[in-house]
Amino acid sequence: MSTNEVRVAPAAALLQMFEGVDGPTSYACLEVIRRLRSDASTRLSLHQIGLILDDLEVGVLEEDVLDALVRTGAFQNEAGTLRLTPTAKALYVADTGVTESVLAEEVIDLLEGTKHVDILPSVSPSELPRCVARVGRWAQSLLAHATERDLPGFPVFWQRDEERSVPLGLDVGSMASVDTAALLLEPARYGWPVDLAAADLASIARAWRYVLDLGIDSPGDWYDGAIFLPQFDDDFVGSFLPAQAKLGSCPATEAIANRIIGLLTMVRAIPDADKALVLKTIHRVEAAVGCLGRWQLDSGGWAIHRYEGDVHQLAPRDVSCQYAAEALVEVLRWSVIPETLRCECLRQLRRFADFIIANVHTDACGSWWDGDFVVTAEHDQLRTTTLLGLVLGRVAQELADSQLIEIQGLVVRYIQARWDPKSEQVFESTFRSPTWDGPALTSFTWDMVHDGFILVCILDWDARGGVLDTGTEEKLLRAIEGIIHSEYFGAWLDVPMFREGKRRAFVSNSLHNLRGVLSASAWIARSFPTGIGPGW
Amino acid sequence: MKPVDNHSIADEAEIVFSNSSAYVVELPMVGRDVENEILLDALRDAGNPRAVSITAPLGAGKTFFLGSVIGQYSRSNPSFDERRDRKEIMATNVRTPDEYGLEVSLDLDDKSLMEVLDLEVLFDGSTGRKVLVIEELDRKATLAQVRWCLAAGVAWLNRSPDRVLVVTGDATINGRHAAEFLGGTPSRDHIVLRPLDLDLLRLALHARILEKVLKPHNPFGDAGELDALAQKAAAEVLADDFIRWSAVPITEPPMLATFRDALGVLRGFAQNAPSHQGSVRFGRELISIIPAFQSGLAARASALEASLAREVETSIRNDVTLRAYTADELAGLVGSDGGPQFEKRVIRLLVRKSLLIPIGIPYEAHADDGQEATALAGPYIPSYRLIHSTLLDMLQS
Repeated sequence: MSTNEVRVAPAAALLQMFEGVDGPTSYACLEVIRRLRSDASTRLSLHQIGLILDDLEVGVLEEDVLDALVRTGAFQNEAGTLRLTPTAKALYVADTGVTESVLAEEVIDLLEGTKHVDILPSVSPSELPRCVARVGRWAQSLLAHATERDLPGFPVFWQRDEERSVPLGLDVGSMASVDTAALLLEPARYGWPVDLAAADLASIARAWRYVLDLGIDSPGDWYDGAIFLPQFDDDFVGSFLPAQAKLGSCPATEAIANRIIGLLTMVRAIPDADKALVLKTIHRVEAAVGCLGRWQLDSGGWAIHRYEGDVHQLAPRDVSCQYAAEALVEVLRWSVIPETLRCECLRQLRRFADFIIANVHTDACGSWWDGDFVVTAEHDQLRTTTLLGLVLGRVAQELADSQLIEIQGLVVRYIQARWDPKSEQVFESTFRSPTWDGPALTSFTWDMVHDGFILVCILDWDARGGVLDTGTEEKLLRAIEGIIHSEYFGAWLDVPMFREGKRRAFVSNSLHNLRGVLSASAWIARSFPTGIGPGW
Repeated sequence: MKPVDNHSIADEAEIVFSNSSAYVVELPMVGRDVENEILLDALRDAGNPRAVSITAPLGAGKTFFLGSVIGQYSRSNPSFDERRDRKEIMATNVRTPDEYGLEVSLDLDDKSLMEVLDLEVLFDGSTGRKVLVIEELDRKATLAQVRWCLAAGVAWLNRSPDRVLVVTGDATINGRHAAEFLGGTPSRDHIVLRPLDLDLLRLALHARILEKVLKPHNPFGDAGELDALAQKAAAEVLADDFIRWSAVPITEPPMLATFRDALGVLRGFAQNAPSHQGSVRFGRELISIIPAFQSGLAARASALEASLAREVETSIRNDVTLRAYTADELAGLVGSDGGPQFEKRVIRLLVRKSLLIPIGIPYEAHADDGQEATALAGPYIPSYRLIHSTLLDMLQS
């Protein structure tokens, strides 16, 4: 699919640069070169080389590495500092067996394996529905596994290989318990048909009842409509205190909101579901929306939890706000919504809109929010801006708010300028899970999808008639390619654990990436209606 | 109620023995009450600048300890917003003009300090008590990074009364370079975190086995009975003395054992232990699987490695504490005269191959006359890797 030449030099061929050098030293040299590249620098001190060798646990001295690299002609030793010599030439043997020369500054590119020159993505459009189908099959297997073993909920991670998926541990997650069924039904939200066999319907029904029963049904109580998980919650580590086991895990705003989204997804995907089940779902959704209303802060945002009487005051959190707003717009999409419920959703959304308008920053680069509305580090700003960008368009539409629409455009401009798609990137969010005694004493980190979220954010703007910046189309295609290529037998793996060599399929992130694929499919259909486009 | 055995613990080995930041297992913090109170006192001392230094080996739990205490402080101080009022920097990420930082002193003006490290800008928008944590003040940092970070940190602390400076690292914090700067703080506390010992490891295993193995399988079980079964299983994991040595080697000073290494090796044993029902049995034959999960390209060619292995073997056989060795003593083991070259080439190579751990104060030997500063400083104690390979040899012999 690429229209420009790609030169590939396997690392093994480059080893021949180090003539007369033993294996461990060659290996160490290559790693030092890789770090030069990843650090975007052209110099390394002996101390820094030593740190790299410490990490590798290679029995090689830094002076030997320095000597070997200098002998290639591509590097210089400046008083103990390794320096790349941009104009020097190095020799290497390409995989064609021919000896070629290359500029030293290109050595690093070659080591990466490809030299990108306007390369366009290499994924065919037909891959997208195939990917969606694989995810559906994986979801079917998880639901069937849970049904066969009568599992009390759904785990967050699964040990995954080509043949099977096995739960990682016995713990369940409040988010995973909703997202697992959503994996199978999500295409219905995008207008795709979802074929369900009898066994699937039985598994879905079981999952539906489980999610329904997670809710607290106690009218008048502060926690009416929240979630009761009687055990450790692997999605919010720290929220369960053994000393207060009877109270279960302390519920989080995002889990309550996600349950609303999941229940409505099930209702929509199974139009001929049992009427009693649907009626019960309406009541429970109503209660959950009521809970979100009580928990909405005076500022209009949401924290990860709101304690009765504000005995512990928590600050608004971007993830909590995004899920809560997402849940409210999903309720408003429902055609049979009672008028009181509709008014309540609009009321909460209006307050949320006022909150984000009051906290937005705008300049010539676009609009953004600080990380969790207070942190000025750029990666935190991008995370919060993207999360809010996911839902901004729909909130604007429901409220018919032209100011929000304008902000959405500026938000997308901000994100486009900072986006460099790489499939292994994540958005990190470190927080303290709520407990019955206040915020947990230990921190916990969510590693959320990065390109998947940004993709959905930008494509929502595009779908509303927004104009994308020059170059964004190429980024979108690269991101889609990255998401498809990182799929692993219908799932996406947890990135930090993958870096440690473990293949753990992560249900919630798989759902987020699936949404990216579904959004991308819709974009391709409307942007390239005849199937002919750049590179496709 | 079924007791824990090799099967049930193997099924949950990834969770019970998790030692990775990628997968979090909730673990109660135990045995740190005094240290806890020192840091809390500093945080609560509103209106007074306070400095706290925390020393512990890598993997001892500094980050966990810090997070827990700050969490306690946050709970009782609603105006403290951790995201806004607590900031961290890694010394190893700081770019310095050179590698030694000799031009840095307590008298250096703010403008010069901020050109290298501007700490004020980190706290934009922050009101009330501010907490700055400077981490990795250890042998991974250059001398310049250590000096610049401490100079900038102390200057930051002294600019306003409602600030707390926390510095964490290894023995570097006890050295004269650190003392040069931390001596300029109005009030300084020092915390040495208790290293991992067998009691602490048993407590941790007990908690994990109870929460992750027993309770999920026995949701209505009697609490007392479950607790007793968990305690029994934790004791059984460490019953064999070879297994104990492989997880928590006893050294003097006790600076080797970490949760990270102990849990890592025990996880390997759990995943490979033979079938055994009715109790947990990790027999010493499991030592033979250690090479299968060791990483790196370590080799045992040199005479010093062999000599050290003999020293380790003697300690294990007699069940006596392994001691630290000076550079000269190591040279003596192989009949060498020692000297700077011996330390620079031979000892450094063994440290690189993770066979020796340096526990001296980094850069302490550096003098102002331009003599090379060295991060590597003895004495040295044998490492996990050396102890494990020795146990393996003992088993096979």
